[in-house]
Amino acid sequence: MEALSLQLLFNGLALGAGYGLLALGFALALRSAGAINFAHGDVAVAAAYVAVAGGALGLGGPAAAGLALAAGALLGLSVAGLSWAPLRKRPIEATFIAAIAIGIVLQNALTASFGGAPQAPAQVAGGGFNAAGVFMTWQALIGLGVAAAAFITVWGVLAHSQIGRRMRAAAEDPEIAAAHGIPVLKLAILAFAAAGALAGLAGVLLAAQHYATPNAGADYILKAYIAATAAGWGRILPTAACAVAIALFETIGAALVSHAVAEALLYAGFVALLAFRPQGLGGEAQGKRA
Amino acid sequence: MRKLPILSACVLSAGLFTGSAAVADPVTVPVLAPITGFLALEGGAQRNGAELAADHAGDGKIEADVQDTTTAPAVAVSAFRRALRDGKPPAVLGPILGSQMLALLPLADAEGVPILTISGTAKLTEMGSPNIFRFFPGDVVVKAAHARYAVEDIGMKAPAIIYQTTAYGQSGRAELVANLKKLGVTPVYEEGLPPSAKDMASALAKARAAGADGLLLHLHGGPTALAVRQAFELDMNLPIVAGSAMHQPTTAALLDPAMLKGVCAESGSAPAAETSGAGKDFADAYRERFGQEPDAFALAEYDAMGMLATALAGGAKGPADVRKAIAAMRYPGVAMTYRTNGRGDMAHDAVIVCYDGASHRARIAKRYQALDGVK
Repeated sequence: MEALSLQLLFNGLALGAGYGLLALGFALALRSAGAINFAHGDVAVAAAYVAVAGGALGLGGPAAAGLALAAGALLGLSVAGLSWAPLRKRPIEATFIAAIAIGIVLQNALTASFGGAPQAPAQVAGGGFNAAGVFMTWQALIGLGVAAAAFITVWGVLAHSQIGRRMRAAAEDPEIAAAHGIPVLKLAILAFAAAGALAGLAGVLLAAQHYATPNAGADYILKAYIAATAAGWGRILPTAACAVAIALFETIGAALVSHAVAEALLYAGFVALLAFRPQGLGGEAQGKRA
Repeated sequence: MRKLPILSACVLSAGLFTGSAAVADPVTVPVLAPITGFLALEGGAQRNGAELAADHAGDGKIEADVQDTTTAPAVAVSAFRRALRDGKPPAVLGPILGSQMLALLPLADAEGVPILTISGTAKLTEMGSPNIFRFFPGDVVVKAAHARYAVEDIGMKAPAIIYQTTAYGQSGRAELVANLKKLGVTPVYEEGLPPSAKDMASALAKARAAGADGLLLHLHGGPTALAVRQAFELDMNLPIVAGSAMHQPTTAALLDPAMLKGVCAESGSAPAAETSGAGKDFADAYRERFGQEPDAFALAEYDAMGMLATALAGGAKGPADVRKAIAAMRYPGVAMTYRTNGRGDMAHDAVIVCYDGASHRARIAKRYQALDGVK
């Protein structure tokens, strides 16, 4: 049973690496641009399909993953250019609807291009090994390493770099930041690109282990949204940590009760959180919520 | 080698078309299918099967008018109304999605238009409609094959069942349990998984801890592949008999061949696994036309259109004629011989396919006929 517990912990962390990267990107766009990007999950899926296409053209796993990262960044820029930048001064619902529309277009484009069957991109590294009764795939281990590196990089950039300080200033008060010469719009668009790149990485990691279908983005965005709300609106690294916790809850909770009950408990817990602490566990970084 | 039945029927009866309609427009048959959305794989197979059958009807005598129903019942209703805007077609090929078919059936009854479907939703043929004709074997048929192969051929005495919590999954699970009971076997463990479940390790481990001597899966394509892969990684060493999703070449393609060793699956048919006869001819034609491997859904839709073409070639003019002809006909399709059980269930046979662990190609391990007693 101990080996099983360790196996579930490993599986949960591997899943959490994907969820965490996804939520990290979602929170980055939220914090830096005040944008709730409902197309974020679909961007992740689309990037995973780019990796699938790359694999079909003969690219190996690492190159296909790199292609997915670049595609994610490009798609992030597209979402910013189509659904956020032109509508950012309109009621916020307009940006929601535009992002949802882009997500639906992406889903249908993927279905038309690849069909509805589940797909898996090439693995960055195939196979695995057994250690103390726990089967670990190289793909999952690399995913954990990539996610950890991404978390540290995003934290380092936001906390210790000039561009990070400017991003935070622009997010706190865009008008004052602009008055001080900070290019608020450019920084927001940069955040979308970075968020898209993180979504691309998340998409390729999740699809390699759990397969991708054109409609998988809806489930992904739900998890990212719950993580962002639970952590406190706009809190970037806590959002990623909450996403990892959701993955662990899904995996270990399923062992303790069942998948269906664990899923129900997750959403029940989320509703309770909204009722008793709507600002999230850490409070809202920006003091405003959609 | 036997020619495809639809081709033979249409060539033999070509005079019936040409005699009365040498200069007439082709007969347009609406094909309503979920081309986009979560059932796009099955909807695409449905579309391909119908289009190939229309091609094989020859000389453009039948035209498949494909309309995307997505996955919303309201969209299917709109597509149905649009299909009838310029007059009643002889029949409509309905979507595979059960909730859409349930919405369409009252309309088909009101209009008196037969609706041919490959949806497995049991209720469709339990509503007393004279217009429903189902060309894919329902759970009553395929789950009998599933249970019998697991118990009689593999020798499972204490299986675990892992199923999807969707309507599809629960319906299949109920029939599986009922058929196991008939064979004197009670599952030692059961768990329902939501389609969003990303990790099967806990369910698999609980099945092993319960003393299961085999796994019976009734999951959608992606979850089936995930369960098979994780059972391999956890070194379960248990035989697996999966639901029809595992017979689909797209599901097998997600796994390394070694992971498939000893894995079997039920299905209404398995054209990609056929090595001779009409099934192989169909599979070859399908591969040539679409560049993909065919599955049972494509073949069932092909046979449905084929039976309709045969009814039209036999002189049926409008919906009432078609309904009467299909209800009375015994049609030798590619997958099986179709005949109604009086409620519109046309398909009564099933197959079991198994993988040998050396390739992604399945072989047909067993064929079952008249599993619901309809001879």
